[in-house]
Amino acid sequence: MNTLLQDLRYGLRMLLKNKSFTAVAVLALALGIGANTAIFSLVNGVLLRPLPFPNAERIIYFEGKNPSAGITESNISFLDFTDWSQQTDLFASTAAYWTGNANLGADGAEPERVPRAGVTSGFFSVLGVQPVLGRTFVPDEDKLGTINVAIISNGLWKRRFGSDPAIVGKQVQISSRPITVIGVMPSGFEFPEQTQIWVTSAVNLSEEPRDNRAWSAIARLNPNVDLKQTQSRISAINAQLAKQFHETNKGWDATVWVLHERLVRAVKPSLLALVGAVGFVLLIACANVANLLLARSAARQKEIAIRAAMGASRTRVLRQMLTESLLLSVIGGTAGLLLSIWLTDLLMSIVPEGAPRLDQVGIDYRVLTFALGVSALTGILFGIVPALQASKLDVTSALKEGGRSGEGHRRTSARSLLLIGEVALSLMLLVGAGLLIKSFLRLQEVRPGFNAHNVLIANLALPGAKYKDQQFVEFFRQLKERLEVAPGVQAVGGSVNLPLNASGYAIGRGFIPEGRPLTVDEQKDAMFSTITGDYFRALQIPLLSGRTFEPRDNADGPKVVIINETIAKRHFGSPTAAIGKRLSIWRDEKFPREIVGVVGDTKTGSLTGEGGMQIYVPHAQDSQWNFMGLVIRTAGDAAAFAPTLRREVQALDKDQPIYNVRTMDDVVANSLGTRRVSMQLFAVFAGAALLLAAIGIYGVMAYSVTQRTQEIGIRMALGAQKSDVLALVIRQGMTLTVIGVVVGLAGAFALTRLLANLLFGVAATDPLTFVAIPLLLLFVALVACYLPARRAARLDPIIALAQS
Amino acid sequence: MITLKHLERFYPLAKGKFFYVLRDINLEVNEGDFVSIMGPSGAGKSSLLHVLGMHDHAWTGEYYFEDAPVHTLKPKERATLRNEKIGFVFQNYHLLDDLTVYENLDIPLSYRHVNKAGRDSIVCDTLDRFHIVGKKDLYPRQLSGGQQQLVSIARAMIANPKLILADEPTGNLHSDQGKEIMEMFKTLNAGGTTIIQVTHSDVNAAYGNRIIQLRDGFVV
Repeated sequence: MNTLLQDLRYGLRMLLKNKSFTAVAVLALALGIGANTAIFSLVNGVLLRPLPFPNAERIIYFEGKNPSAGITESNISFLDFTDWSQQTDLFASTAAYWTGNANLGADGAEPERVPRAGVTSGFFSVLGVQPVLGRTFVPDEDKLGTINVAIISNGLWKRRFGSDPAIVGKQVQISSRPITVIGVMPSGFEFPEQTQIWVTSAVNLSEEPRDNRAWSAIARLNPNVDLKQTQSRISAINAQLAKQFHETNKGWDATVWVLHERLVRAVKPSLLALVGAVGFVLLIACANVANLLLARSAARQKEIAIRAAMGASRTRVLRQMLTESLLLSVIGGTAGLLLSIWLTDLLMSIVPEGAPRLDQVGIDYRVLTFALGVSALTGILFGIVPALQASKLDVTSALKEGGRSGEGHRRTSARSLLLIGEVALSLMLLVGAGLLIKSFLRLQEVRPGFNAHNVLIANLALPGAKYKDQQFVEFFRQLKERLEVAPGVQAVGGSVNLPLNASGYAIGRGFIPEGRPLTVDEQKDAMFSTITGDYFRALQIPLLSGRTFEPRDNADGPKVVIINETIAKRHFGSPTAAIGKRLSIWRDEKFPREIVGVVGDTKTGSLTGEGGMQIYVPHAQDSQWNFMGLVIRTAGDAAAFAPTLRREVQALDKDQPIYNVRTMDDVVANSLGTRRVSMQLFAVFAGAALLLAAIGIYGVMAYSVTQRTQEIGIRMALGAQKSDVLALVIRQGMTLTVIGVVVGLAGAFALTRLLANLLFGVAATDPLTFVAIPLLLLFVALVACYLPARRAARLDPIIALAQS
Repeated sequence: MITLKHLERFYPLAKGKFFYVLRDINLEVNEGDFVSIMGPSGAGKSSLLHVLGMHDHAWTGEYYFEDAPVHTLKPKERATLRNEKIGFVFQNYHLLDDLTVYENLDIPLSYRHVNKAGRDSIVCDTLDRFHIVGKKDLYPRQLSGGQQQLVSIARAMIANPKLILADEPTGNLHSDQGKEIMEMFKTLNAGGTTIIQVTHSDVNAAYGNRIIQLRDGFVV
């Protein structure tokens, strides 16, 4: 213990003595450890921290799929869910729910749209969460016609009701209905999707269509039941249902997810890739610090030799050196931890809207343990090679002539190996970043099928208690009339289904072209949009053939439909040939519609996906929709039109809120959010790696030039010109770099495959990236080698020779 | 072969003063001479040798090498002249540690852009001439001091220079080895090579035909 303290004291003294060395090493380590800790805090919050529910790993989520129809993600049918729940003994409890929004009554304040979920009574029991005030739903409350009670979130209770302790039992206006608050949930509980109000969900089983796949469902597994068992039982039931209900269930199955896995599925690959990238940065930082330590230990040879001559064993020398490196890593780790707090805040400010579980991100015991563990590991990692080298010193020669012996060669080899490693790691990171940047550029080139510039969108949902069918149509018609006369407005429209999922609705419906038997086997799945106003003009979706909807396409007029180019080509030959043909939206409507127009394809879910087949019907002929995603094209800044829009809506109905107000440009940008952040972080990490590698190359070569001063002097005395010396040094550095590049290329070939699912429009082995990035690295290495080489070429041979 | 007129080498000091290491040197060295420069430590012997070897450019005065006015030549022209005409032998041998004897001999030729076949031929001849064929694959650390200096002389001679500049060539050798090296110089001189050596040893100086004494930068 005494000797350890002595080692620590001496180590601290050495670090204080070499302030510039210590500063550079601590900075490199702080950056490496800080960046790693920040990314880990994100990974910890999103991926590692369990959901805040008891035994959360036993809560599962059902996701519908129909591979034969090309549907990989879908909500589920309530009737299917009921069959799964009733026919198995897999679950301790089950619940179905839907999500949407509700107008929170204008109790003196401005009407507000808040996220609402309709849940079956078992919902809170599946999650195992108790309210802080009042109670949750009891079984009878989810029976038909009894939607008159609600539970509110802690945040809403505090914000809207001033933490009123007597809130339970009070009535509030939710979507123009009086609803009694029966409970307040604990702080932070907002499942699903930031829900603020939970109401019971009434389902009339005898009237519910089996193919109404608008529901989500969760369940808590019974003890001793695992995911695999559950999946096979559910699939078996689905196979049975597909036979029994051929028309509604053909091809349909469900994937069973652990709820946590499902919530983070979209961001998990990006996060794991970032963990790898930032880990590489730390390794490169370690190699740099190890190189610094090696250079310093060369300068300390005499001291170590004296220690050995005084009787220090190899272990003791090793321990002394490791103590110093660990001390350095602890200081670097502490600085890194402090840096990570700022970096985490920075990360949180750039993560895209809607990323899951961000509320869980922060510094906890796991993050602290990680920082401590990484610091210790780092200390050993960068300290071990220099420490081993120092402990193997040949005392006699070191004492005799300051260490001009084989030790120097060994140290040079170690430094060369570290340099090769640094270059290889940097190359892998740079290739990864290059591929992501190229993907991102490709994504930006993707044409979404509409013009997003100068378009404002907003969601508007009319309360069913106040408006009915044609009143919905009339409201949106009047709103359009008011808006289009406002200054700067060029076109106004609306759709239930906005492109890029901007309205939050994505509705699929089956259609059958006229002339085919009306059976499920003939059905084609398409994205379905009910639209109003000048929707196509507002989004500048091109009309390829025929016409857009007109006032005559009303409830009494002939039933019409507009299709997109994909349907026209696939099922009718061409846009022109499709005009005048008919199709049936067969399970939802009992009549055919005439195709009056063909428009261009738009990206429905994301820029990376295919638009697929799309059909549009006029709101006047499908008036059940109380909801519209409004689209307003303006002459100038679209965002500036929001107050006018709000004012015009309230002029029609003072209690009617609008929500999700944003520009279409923001929607496009946000749809690339996760990719943009991954790309930006990868690019930053790769940039840091390139910088560290350049510093590493420069450091090794500068050290080598110092070591070879005399040799260079001799060579100059023997006739070497400046160009010969330049070539000598650059050749040495570039040889190591080229080896590093070759190793890195092999690594990149292997590792970039892991990035494949983050790429778009570019192969994981993209030849251009695999050529351009090594060239970039070689150029940077050339510059890094040139500086010490130039110094070597300017050496005065007389001084160099005098060094002996 | 060499003419120095009023040559001076000095270092600037503070307050506009100068420290002279060589002062008003006027010297003639003829082709075939074996000159020994002698004098106490700090007299300017090595400085003079570096000026003669055209490694040092910071001097004033006139320096003619075979009628070429070195004082007017650009550094690159001086380097070309040096590579063609002058070979060096150092007290510490200055062999390159990581190169074999063969490779050490090859280095000066490669800097003179001799092609590979030509270099091989010259190196083999030189190994033979200096009786070190058996040592060609050894590294300097595997040789004795005398052997290392022998290789160093062979390296100095390999480009067939007209002048050998030797800075205390036997300073690190015991007397038998020293004698052997001096005999080698004598043989080379007899073959027509001009030799200028710096030495503290009267015995070694006696191998030459002329002694130049330096004291405080002056030829005395």
